[in-house]
Amino acid sequence: MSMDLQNLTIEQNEPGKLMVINMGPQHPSTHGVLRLVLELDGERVMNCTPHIGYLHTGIEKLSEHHNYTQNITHYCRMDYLAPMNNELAYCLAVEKLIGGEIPARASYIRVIMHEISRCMSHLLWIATHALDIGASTAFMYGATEREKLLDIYEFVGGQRMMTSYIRIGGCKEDVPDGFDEMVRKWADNFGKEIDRLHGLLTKNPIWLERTRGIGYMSRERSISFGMMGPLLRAVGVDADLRRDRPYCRYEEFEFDVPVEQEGDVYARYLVRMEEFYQARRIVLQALDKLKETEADTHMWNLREFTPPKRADIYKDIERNIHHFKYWTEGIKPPAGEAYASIESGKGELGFYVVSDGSAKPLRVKVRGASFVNLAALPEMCEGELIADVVAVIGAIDIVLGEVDR
Amino acid sequence: MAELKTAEQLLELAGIALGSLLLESSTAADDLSILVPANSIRDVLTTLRDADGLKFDLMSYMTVVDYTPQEPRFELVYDLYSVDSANRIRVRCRLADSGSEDKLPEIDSVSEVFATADWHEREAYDLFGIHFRGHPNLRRILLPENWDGHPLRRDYPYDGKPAWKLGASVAEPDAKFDILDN
Amino acid sequence: MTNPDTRLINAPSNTDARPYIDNWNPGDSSILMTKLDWMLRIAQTNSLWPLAFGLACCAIEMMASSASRFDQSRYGSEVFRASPRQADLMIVPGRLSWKMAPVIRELYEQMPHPKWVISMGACASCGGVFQTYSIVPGVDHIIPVDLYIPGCPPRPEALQDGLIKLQNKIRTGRAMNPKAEPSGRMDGK
Repeated sequence: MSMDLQNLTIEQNEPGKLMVINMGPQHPSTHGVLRLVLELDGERVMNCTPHIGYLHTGIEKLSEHHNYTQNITHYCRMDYLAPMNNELAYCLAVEKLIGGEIPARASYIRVIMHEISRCMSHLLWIATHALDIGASTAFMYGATEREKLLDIYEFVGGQRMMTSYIRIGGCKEDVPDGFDEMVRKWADNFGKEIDRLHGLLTKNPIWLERTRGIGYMSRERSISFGMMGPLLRAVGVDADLRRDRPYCRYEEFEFDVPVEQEGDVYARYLVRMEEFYQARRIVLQALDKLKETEADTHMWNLREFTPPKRADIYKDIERNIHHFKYWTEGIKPPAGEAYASIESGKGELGFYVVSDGSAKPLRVKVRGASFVNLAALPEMCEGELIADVVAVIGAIDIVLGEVDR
Repeated sequence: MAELKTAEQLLELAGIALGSLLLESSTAADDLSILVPANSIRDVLTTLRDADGLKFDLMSYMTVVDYTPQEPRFELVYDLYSVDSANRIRVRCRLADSGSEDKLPEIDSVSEVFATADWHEREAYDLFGIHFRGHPNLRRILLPENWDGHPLRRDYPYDGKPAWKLGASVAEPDAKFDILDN
Repeated sequence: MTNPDTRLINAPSNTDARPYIDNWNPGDSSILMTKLDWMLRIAQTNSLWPLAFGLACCAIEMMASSASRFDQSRYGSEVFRASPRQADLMIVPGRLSWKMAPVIRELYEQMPHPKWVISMGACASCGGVFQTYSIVPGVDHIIPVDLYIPGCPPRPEALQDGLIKLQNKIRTGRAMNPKAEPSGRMDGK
């Protein structure tokens, strides 16, 4: 930049000389209804103000008016890219409140579905992130792979997305026959498909130009902003809740935690791409472990907190009454509070549940990963070109249902 | 990586660091939860962040629980996490309701201690009506600026029907793209 | 294609110098006489351009229906436009909050006539499970809706079925008058 141009930039920096641009809520690259107010100096973003709440649903308020089992229905509609993750985190929190042991089989099913959800979330991330930057081929490959995972969802839970399959105390049903072969068939090809995405993007010069050195965050600021997950691992912090605070018997699994040092969009891309392979590794291990467990042990044996089996309802009046009370009144966890969090695809997804001993929670707070990560967007965007804002948003991997709740 | 400590070990360390500021504690369900006075919340969180052996450098979330009709009404919950040792602590403090909409209950903002508290405190202001002293930009975050009331308070109807007639809370057409409202 | 509005007339043959009106031979014809209105409807039916606009979960299924497996371009409506000025179909995918309501109304008004609206999913149609303070109980409070698709979220097949039904409505002229006023009013009166 010549001396004259530098002076010009400084002059334009005076207040009132910035151009204000409104981006969103209807914008194809804000991944939903995010609205950004950008103050531009030429092409440079000098100031970025996110406005959220355009999808505010009041899920936390609604949770106080529905019982514990009904609430599962709301939460899959929060992070709708990986519905079972939300169910899992909520069920873990309520189970912590009740205090009971989850059978091994239920835990392994949960691990498989948790990792499949992570892949679903990441596949949609790479599809839309690449589409925003201009690589529309990756969108189709990502969508194709995601359909295979949705088939597994449908096979297990009966619906493509909002299955409400993971329940308090385990899973709704045992996995159907043929589940093992179906998942293995997917896993056999999955590595190759991710290799293809790597081939399309990782060394692509345009991709490197658009992502390297963009949206930098320092280690200290990332921690101060409370980021977790791929964003924190991309700044060189070796943190993963699956390994550091194991839930669902994750301590029995072998997997690596990818860590990158650069803290830019490209580093976040590399971390997430490696997580595909690790997720596949965990799923294969979990399938082996699943074979060793006994069938139909998909629920814990706390009678009070478990619905009776359908066939048993007609056998005696006790179970009939129990069935009736479970589904109308709901379960009553003891009074207290509990927080459980999981490593979702986007970061730490946690549920803080307060119970007063009745059938409805007193308060449910959702610690959404996207909400926390999005708060750092202004710092990442400042000084970048306006075209890179979409790359930064894509790299944060937000889902507005979880931001606004 | 430092070792994962049990709740009892953490409580001992926190007791040394905080001294008389630690009012109550509970280790139910292997979660350490401590109660501190509301007027010293900023000091407590700074101490927990910087003290040796604790180093709770990441704030997971901050929220409010409305315990109506108990007194004091609100309980503020700050959940801290240590990246190095993966330990977790829940800090709570109680806040009485002021009883009027004009003067909201007040507490110090901790957005300088943890950057993530900025949005969480705005959310608490929006949904619960807690005023955070010293917050740089305390305005509604999820609901429109002209919304009446604070929906997550227990006395607010969940379907909101008494609060709005059809369209009553929709922002004015001129106001919604007001780019200078920040 | 037995539409009463159309009539088939044969073309002049190369060998015959007589005026073609005398040479009436149905079944061997290449001229279509029709009302301009019907012709326009056929064109509008087969090139619906939806607005690229996502709200919540249903938007993901909307994306899936335009992606590889459920290729929506088979029905001529895969061109998702980011600008409302270029779109004539608004699919409202997901729950609509009161904060978003003025925006969606403005987007609808920015779309040129003729335009159609599909309310996709339970939340857009009636609020669905989210009967809360912040969700509009049905997008028809804000904009007029031609077609409601049930489901939470509807499968891509359901969306495409809805799309074909809307196409039938447009083709036969039974779609809502494009200048219809919405049932709800923004000023709350």
